[in-house]
Amino acid sequence: MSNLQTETITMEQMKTNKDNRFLQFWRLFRRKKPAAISFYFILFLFIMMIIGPFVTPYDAAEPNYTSVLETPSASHLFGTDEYGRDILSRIIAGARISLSVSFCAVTLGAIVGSILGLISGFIGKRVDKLIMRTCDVLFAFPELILAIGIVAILGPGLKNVIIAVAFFSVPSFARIVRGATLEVKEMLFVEAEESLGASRLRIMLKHVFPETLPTIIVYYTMNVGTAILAAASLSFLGLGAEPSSPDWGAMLSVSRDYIGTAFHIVFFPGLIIFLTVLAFNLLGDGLREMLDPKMKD
Amino acid sequence: MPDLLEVKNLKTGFHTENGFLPVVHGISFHVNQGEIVGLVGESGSGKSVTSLSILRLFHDTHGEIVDGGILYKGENILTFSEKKMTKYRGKELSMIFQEPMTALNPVLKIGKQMRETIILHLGMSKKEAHQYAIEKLKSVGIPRAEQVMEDYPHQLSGGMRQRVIIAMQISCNPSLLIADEPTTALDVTIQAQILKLMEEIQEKTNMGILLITHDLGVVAEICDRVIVMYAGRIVEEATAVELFENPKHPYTKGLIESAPKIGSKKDRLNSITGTVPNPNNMPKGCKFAPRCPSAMPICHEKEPELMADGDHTMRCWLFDEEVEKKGEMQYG
Amino acid sequence: MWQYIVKRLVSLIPLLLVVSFIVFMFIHIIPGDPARLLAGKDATAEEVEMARASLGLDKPLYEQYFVYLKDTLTGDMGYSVKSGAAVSELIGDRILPTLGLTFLSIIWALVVGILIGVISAVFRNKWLDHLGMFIAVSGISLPNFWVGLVLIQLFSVQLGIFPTGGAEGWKSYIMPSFALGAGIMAMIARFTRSSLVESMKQDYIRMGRAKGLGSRQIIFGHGLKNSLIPVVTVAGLQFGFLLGGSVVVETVFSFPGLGTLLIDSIQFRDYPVVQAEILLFAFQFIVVNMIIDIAYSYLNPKIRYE
Repeated sequence: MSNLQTETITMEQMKTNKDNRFLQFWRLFRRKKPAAISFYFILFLFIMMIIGPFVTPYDAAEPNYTSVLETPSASHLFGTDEYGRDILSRIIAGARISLSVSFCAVTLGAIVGSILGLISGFIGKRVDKLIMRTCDVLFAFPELILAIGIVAILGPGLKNVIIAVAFFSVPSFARIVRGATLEVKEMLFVEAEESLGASRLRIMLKHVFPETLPTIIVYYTMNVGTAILAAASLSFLGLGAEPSSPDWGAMLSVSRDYIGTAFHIVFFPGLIIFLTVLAFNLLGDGLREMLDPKMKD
Repeated sequence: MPDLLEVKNLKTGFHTENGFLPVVHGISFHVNQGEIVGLVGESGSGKSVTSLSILRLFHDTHGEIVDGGILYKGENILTFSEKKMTKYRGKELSMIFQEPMTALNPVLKIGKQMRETIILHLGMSKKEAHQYAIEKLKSVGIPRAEQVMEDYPHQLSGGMRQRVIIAMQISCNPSLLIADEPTTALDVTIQAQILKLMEEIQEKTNMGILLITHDLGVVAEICDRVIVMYAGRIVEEATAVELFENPKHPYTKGLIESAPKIGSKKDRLNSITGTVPNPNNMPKGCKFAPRCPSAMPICHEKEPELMADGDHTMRCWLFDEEVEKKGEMQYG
Repeated sequence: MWQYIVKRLVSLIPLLLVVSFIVFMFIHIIPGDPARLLAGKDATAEEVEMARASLGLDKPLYEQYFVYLKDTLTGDMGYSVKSGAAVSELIGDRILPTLGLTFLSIIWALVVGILIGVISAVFRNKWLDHLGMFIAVSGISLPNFWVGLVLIQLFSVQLGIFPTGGAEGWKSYIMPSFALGAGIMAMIARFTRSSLVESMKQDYIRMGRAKGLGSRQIIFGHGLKNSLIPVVTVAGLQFGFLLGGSVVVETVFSFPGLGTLLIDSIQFRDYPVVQAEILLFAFQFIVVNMIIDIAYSYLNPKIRYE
């Protein structure tokens, strides 16, 4: 009845149109304005991540004491920081750090979580119980507190931030993928394969995993936003990136001292974190509407 | 005096992203005071949409009445404001739904849900409404009515819940009650009890009842007159006695032949092959022709009009005089 | 109902034991000698040995755990390396401001979140809905520390309405609770909307219309009540988000609560305090979720009357 229902691509539809399913998906996706704009924004960020250092007018690290704490102007669009460095250039340089940290963390969490979820859902019984109880225990710690605890153990630094953020995304991936796996298991062709004597690993990798992929993709996208926020929080607390590095969270941490005197150095790094996380969340929402009809309202 | 309810050329459909999808194609019928009229058809025939149209219950859906008139005691309710319509619902025109399991709000006590209507339409105080509600519950044969008022819906059986709903919907003495498959979701023994209850209520209050069902057994039990719908159109109308003794339309015949015994929950008719056509993909000509055992060439070309034979009307080329004269007639 | 509560409480015991064991292991996982970690980085060799003996660190692990469990249950959480004060006292001083802050945050987040959610659901697919949901998705995406800094700039530096930090008087709670609650408010708004939209599709809503109830009675008398029951659960799950966020927001506002204590202690390697705090945060989260669970079963008549 509603637009959403018919715009949802079901798995069967996707299978019947194997050839042009990507094109079809793309056409529907472009109709979702917020998600499409977010996609372009994220694409832009990625391009900046790669070519950023070659196109930025200023060096992100080199101090310039003749232009300290300048407000935004034509030569410094976002102004300069306490060492006279161009904030826009630093934000672009920081995209490399902030995005790669978040992507590494979520990818790590997604891989470990998905494998655990697949095993848990597919094998069931005791293994399932063990994995799910472990997840329950991890869920008992508030996410950021868990991450802070892990950094407290391992010591501050980006590598440990990645581990900490990955750690707290593992149980939620495991749960979601387990749920999706259980559903796929109900489907006929899995039973058929099983009766034909195909090995469990083969069924899991060839049939179950691809079917859970849409769920994983949606959840992955949504988790990148959370991870960016968490990593920035840790850096802001002084537990992540070096204070001198152009990491977005670290920039904000340092900028606190200049609030009241040079607000722009507080404003712009935070704004870029907000916009990036917003883009991932909107993209995630859009993908969810298209790929996972059960999760939407 | 005007009819209690007169539906004239009603056209209702749903807005989809592929444009407007008509479901009810200009149907006309009436219900008199003190009469039980059955509206019969398979699922997808548009009978439920017709019933929703009469109460204009298309909130939170994409449904819309696009043409026609619905005259209640001579007033066209389609011209009413939503506010005025709200005052009529439950007070003048009432409705009972198919699923007693889900039609009651699970988190509110029966008492609250009973009183709500009474306070709203009869302007009673909460205390008066409470007493009045208990009386009404008793009148539909609910034992321990005081206790039931304090219960939550899940604490009652399906039959009890349907009784509660009936009590609720007749509590403000409406003149017309629309019952959409009121017994379909219930056990066989309970079905008969609920039908008997409705008949009793009708005799006591002299209200008009429009009974929507796919079950001819139910119709035979209590209806005075029967309207048969197919693909959003009325295909035959007659008194219950006439319809069962002398069915004209091949579809009606099929329905009667395959009529499940009262109590069956089947919503599909075995002796008629095929299914109701999809509103997106209606056949040209007579909509029943693809499934009709007596279809003639003309049936696939042109849609027949409603033809009258006294009080008995039907929409079928088999009964057209022109066709008869041309000798194409072939009674099946 | 009571049976359910008791069952729920009993089921909590293993979880609490495992969680406390993990937190206990914290000090042993950190690279280095636990005795040295607990005695502090500036401790002399003698002090380290004293700590080892007094904490029983030379005994087998399981024995140590039972000692730890017993001490924790009796309120003895060791002594701060930094100040020498009892950890329980340090925490005791900080717990009320943090509880006040989280409480204030969740209250405003619930009120505003439900309001936005209801407005969005009622005006589904109209511009008000789009606005409400845009506010919501923004709220989820906002870094709370940045919100805090922007608030300080606006209301402390420029307008001079609220103090930049501390926890003196109600004024110093306003901005932190706003920064802390924004994310949860947004999640509650989104969930309320989808839950109410789902409720409005139910048969009893159509039945209510057929009874002649007006839109207001339908939404507030029937739809909302049903949709708020699951919202309660979501609010509980998001409480963890709030606890984590409180650490960051307290840091922004130099708010004398558990969060700033945690960060200070980590930076000073004051491990007894860190360990106690992590246990406390986990414990709070578990207890809140249990309360929510019980509240849920109370609100849902199907569970209340089995």
